[in-house]
Amino acid sequence: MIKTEILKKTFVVIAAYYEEKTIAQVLAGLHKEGYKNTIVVDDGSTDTTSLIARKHGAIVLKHIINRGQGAALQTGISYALNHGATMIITFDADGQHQASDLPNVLQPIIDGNADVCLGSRFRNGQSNVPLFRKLLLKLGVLLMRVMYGIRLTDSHNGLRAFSRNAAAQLHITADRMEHASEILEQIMRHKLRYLEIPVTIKYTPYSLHHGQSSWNAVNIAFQMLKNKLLR
Amino acid sequence: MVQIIQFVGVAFGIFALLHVYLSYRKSVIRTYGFLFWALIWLSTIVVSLHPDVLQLIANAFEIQRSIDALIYLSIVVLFYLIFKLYLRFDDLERESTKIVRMIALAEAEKETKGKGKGHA
Repeated sequence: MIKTEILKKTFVVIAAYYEEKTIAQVLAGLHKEGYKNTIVVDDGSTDTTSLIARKHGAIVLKHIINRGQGAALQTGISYALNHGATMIITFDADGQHQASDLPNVLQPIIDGNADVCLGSRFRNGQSNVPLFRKLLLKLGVLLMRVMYGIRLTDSHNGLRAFSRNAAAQLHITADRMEHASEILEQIMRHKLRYLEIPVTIKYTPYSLHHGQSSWNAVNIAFQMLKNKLLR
Repeated sequence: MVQIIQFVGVAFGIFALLHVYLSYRKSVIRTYGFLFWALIWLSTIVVSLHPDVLQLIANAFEIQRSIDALIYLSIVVLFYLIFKLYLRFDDLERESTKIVRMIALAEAEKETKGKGKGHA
């Protein structure tokens, strides 16, 4: 689908915190679709996440202590930029994202029509989103629109693609979960051209249990408010 | 007539002032910090000896009771200190991440050099 020469300079950054159960499948899925430059940033896990990732052909960066997903992604992005990446993708480690969605996410950037492509689970009418989470996500969308003026249908989706230029302008300083909003704020601030692309989020009992609790949304909102007021 | 609270105020003020001074001498705190806290404790001693000073301040702000003025002022100062602490804490977190990131990237470079491979 996407030319090999382009894939050679496309990097997939995966932040992982205790993902030994799913990281192998995630990497296998990506490699099968031709994404060989996979960077797993192990954010201070003490299980076999790093070992398995390395065994499955990923470049592993290790945070010696846990700093948060935002910090882990920035580390991976910095590495990718230092190694000549022309496109950088952020991808979840828990198996919720599909490698098959990547060509659609990358094409607008390849064509030069966008600097950033953001995955949205709501654009393709995906219907199995848990109700409470759906409500929170929709609230999140509204909040992003009000605070940053960004128009999205899914403001908290970890599947993103950046052109090199866009990635170079990113400076994720919010270490923890509020990094998602920080990325959106920076997209608007740097006037990057963004597009939303329909993607599928696979909900499994494991990923729902392992991932963020919906209640964490309160914490994220609080962090956002704090950052807006104090910085 | 000297009240007990006045006595306690002066005694504690002297003790705290000594502690601050010793900390400064041992280079635990720097000049700015020393001056700030020395001022606080000196004020505590002065106010304990002459509580009417407080009343002067209270009148200036048109507050009835001097102790109320003291409490309002203390609360404002506390909020400010907490705010500053919070900012410093935030900065510390960012600095820590910078260090952890540097280590992660340096280790990765060491590995690739060791393997003799390059990454496109």
